Amino acid sequence: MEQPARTKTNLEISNSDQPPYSWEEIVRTHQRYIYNLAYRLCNDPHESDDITQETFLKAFENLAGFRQEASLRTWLSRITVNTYLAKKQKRLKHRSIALEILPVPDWSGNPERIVIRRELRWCIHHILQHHLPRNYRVILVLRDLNRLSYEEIATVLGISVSAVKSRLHRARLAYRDHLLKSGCAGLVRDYSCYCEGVQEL
Amino acid sequence: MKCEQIQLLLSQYLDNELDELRRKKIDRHLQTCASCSQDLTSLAKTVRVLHAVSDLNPPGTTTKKE
Ligand SMILES: [Zn+2]
Repeated sequence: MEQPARTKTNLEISNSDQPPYSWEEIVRTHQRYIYNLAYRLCNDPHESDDITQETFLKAFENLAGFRQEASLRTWLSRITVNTYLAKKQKRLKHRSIALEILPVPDWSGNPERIVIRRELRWCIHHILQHHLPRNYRVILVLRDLNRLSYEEIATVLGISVSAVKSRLHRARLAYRDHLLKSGCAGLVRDYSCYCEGVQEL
Repeated sequence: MKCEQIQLLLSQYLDNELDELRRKKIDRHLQTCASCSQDLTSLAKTVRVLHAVSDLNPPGTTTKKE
């Protein structure tokens, strides 16, 4: 899906209490982006709905506190991430979906030519959702899925840029280790995971 | 720079977030260090895998579309 251009999201908030755009416009402009961010974090459409609604509710209540240091979208993203993190993580048991045997993708070839198929997507998200601490998941979603800059991530998370650098690196290493450890091919083959039955904490 | 220092900077190296001086130091190191090169390759692959699913969006968007 096309993402709105990052440079177009700065709201010109004037000194008066009246934002130049209506609340409806703000919601219309950012709703989809925020919903998608929530979905990438929690991977659940209903929870994404809840997070999105809560985000805009909190944003509306605190709109007077919004200042221009960050773009409106970054500010909304920060509320979204905090809302997500504040939610008690559901103790979900992995679902083991029995499916027909699928061919194992060839990882030995030129990486540029790897075709990420549906099954592989499942695997990639499975690791994101079930095998990483939430602060690692959040930073990977912000950087590698949503492609935010280091500065934007720092603003969203309320941490320094140097903290972003080290956390991002550790998160990528953790992700890589799981990719290797789980033998992604095994996941793809039968949708089972070496961790099957382990409850998410 | 030592290998450990290099390895800590590999994410920033991939993201093009390093200044010229450091980037060149790492370039030089990578030419002679197989272990760091391998590390970089696997990290690059990991990032590429994540990028490849970055077009993921909810299956059915239930929020109102206008
Ligand atoms: Zn080295």
